[in-house]
Amino acid sequence: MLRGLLRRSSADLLKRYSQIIWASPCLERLIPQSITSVQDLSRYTSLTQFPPDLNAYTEGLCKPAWSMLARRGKSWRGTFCLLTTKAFGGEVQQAIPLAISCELLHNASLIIDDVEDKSEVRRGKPAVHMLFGEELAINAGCYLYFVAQLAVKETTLSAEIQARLSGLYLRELLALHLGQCSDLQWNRIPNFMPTPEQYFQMVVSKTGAMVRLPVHLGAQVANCSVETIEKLMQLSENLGIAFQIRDDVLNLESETYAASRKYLGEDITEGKKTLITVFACETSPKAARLLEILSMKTSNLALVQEALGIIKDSGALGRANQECIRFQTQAESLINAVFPQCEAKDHLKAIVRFLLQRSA
Amino acid sequence: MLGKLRSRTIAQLLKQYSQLIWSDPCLERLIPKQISSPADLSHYTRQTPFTADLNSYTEGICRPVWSMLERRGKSWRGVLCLFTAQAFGGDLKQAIPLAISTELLHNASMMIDDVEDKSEVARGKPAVHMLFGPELTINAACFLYFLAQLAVQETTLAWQTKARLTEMYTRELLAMHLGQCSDLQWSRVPGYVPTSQQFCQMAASKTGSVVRLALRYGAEAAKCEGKTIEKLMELGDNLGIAFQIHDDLLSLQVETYALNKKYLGEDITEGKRTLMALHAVQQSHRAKRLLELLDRKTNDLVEVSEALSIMNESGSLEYAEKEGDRFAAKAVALLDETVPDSESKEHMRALVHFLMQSKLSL
Repeated sequence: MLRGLLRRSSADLLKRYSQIIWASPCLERLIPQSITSVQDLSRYTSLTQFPPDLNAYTEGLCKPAWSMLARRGKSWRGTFCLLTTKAFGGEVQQAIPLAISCELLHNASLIIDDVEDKSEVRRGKPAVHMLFGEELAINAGCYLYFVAQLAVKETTLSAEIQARLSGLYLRELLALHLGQCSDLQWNRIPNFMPTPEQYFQMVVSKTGAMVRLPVHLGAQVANCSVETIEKLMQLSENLGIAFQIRDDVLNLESETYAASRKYLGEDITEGKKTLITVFACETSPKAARLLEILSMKTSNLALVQEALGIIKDSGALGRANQECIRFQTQAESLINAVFPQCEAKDHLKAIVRFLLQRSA
Repeated sequence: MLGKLRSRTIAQLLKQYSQLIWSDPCLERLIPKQISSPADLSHYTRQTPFTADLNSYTEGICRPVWSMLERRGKSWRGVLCLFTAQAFGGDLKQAIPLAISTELLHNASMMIDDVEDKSEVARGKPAVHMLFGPELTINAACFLYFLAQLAVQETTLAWQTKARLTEMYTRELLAMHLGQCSDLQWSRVPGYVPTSQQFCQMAASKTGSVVRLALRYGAEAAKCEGKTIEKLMELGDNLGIAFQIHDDLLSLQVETYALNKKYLGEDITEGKRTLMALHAVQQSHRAKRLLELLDRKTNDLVEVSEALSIMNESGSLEYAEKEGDRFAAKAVALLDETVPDSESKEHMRALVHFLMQSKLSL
C-alpha cells in the first residue's frame, strides 16, 4: 500500500519536472512546431538574402522532429539536469534550456537509431522514418543534434562557461557515437559476442553519455568543483549501466513492455548484444545455438522462443539482475556521498528507484 | 592562353595547398586510420574502468571514414580557407586545423547525402554506404561532424575566437540541414515547383554553408572583423549557388557526369528540382510531362533522356550556365571589393574560375 503510494508519487514527481522542461518557451525557440516567418529561424541559423520555402522546413524538418518530441517519454535526462543544479544550489532557471537540450539530443539519437536498427516502432507508434522516410528522419535527427548545442545561448551563463559546455556536448556526442559504433559493429559480425568488460564500455559510452551530459551540465550551472564533477560522472556511468541492463531484462521478460513493442524478445530479432546474451553465452551449453539464432535476425516466433528458452535456462537473467542491483547500489551510495542533504537529492533518489523498479 | 595558364597554375596550387591539409598530423590525431590503443582517443573520451573493443572502432568508424577521406577530391573548400587566411595576413599554421575541419565536414556531409539520396557512386567508387552499410555510414558520418567541430580546439586561437567559431560551425550546420531539407522535401511533393529564388536559398544553405564556414574560418584566423566578414559571407552565398548550379549541370553532360553518378541524369531519377528543371517547367510546352517524369523517380534510361531532351529543347542548360556565371561574377566582385590586393587574392580569384570551368564534379 505504502509502496504503491510512493511509486505513484515518484511518477508524479517526474511528471512535474518534465512539465518544467516541456512547457518552457525556449523549446520552441530552438525547434518550432511550424515555421511561419523567417524570424522563427534567424535566431539560430545563418540566413541569406533569398526568401526560403518555409513550408518545406515545416514539413521536412519540424514535423518529423515533433513527431518524435510529441511522444515525450519520461524525460528523466532533462530532469536529472534540473535536479543536479537544484541540489548544488545553482539557478534552476539557467538549467532549463540545458535540460531541454538533453531531451532534444536524446530524441535525435532515437530517430537516428531507429533508422540504423531498422526499428519500426517507437514509443508505441511507427518510428519517425516509417512516417517521413529515412532521408528526412536522418536530416531532422542531425538538425536536432546541432540545434541542441545552441541551447547554451538561451542561458545567461558567462561566455567562458558557455564555451566549456559546448566542449562537453561534443565529447559526449562523440562518446555516444563510439558506443553506437561498437553496438552496430558487433551486430555485423556473425557469432560475435563481446566480453562483459567490452559490453560495459559500450553501455558507458552509448547510454552513459546521455546520463553524464545532463548531470554534468547541471553541475556546471551550479559551479561544482572538479572533484565533485568527477564523482558525478562515476555516478552517472553506474546509473547508465543499471538503466540499460534493466531495459534489456524487461525486453525479454515483461509482457507490459512488449505491448509497446512488436512482441516479446524483439532484441533477439535485432540480434542485439545485451548483458543477458553475454552471460548466457558464457555459461550455456547451447551458446552456439543462441549465437546462431541471434545472427539470423529472425522474427520467427518459434526461434525467438527457443532463444528465450536458452537464455532462461542459463540463469543469465538472474545474473544480469544482480549486476543491475550492483550498479544501482554503487550509484545510490555515490548519490548519498556526493549530493548535499536537500529536497532535490530526495527527489533524485526517488526517481532513480522509480526508474529501476523491477516490475514493469 | 592566359586562361589555360592560369588554370594549370591553380591546379598545381590546389595540389600543393591540399597537401598541407592532408599531411598535417592534426588530421590523424582527430581521426586515426586505426585505433590501436585507448590513448588514440584520449583527447576526447573519458577514462572508465572498462576496456573498449577498439577493433570495433577501427572497423566501424575509422574504415568507413577513411574510405571517403582517401578519395580526396580537390579539397577546394579547405584550400579556400587557407587562401583566405593568407590573403588577410593570417598565420597559415592556425588555419590548417580549420581547413581540416572544413574538409572533414564536407566529407561527412557527402557520406550522409549519399545515404539520403540513395546514390551508389561517390568520387568514382562505390558510395561508402554501399561498402559498409547505411547504419555504420550514418554513425561514422555523425561522428565526423562532431570531430570536425572539435578541430577548432587544435588551433592556438584565443578561447573567445574558438568559442565563436564553434558556434558558427553549429549555425552553418543548421543552415546546411535546412537546405538539405528543402532539397529532399521538394522532390517528395508531386508536382511541386519551387521558385528560382527559393532554389537560390536552398543552394546557398546546402552548398553555401560549407563555403561560408571556410571563408569565416580563414578570416577569423587572420583576425578579420564585422563588415569584412559580412561581405565574405555574401561571397560564400554566391559562390555556393554558382557551384551548385555548375555541379548540377555537370551531372547532365555526357563527358563530365561520371565521378559521382551512376548514369547520366541521376538527378532526374532523384526528382531533383535543379535550376534547369525549374526553367524547363516554366518554359517548355512539355512542362507537364517533365514534372511527371521527375515525380515518377524513373530510372528507365529512355525516360531519363526524354526528360533531358525537354530541358535541352527549352534552353534550360544554357540558361542555368548563364545564371551560374552570373553568381560567380558576383562572388568575384565581392572578392575584389573585400579582399586586400595580394597574391592570395589572385589565387582566390583563380580558384573561382577554376571551379566554374571544371569538367569534373569536385
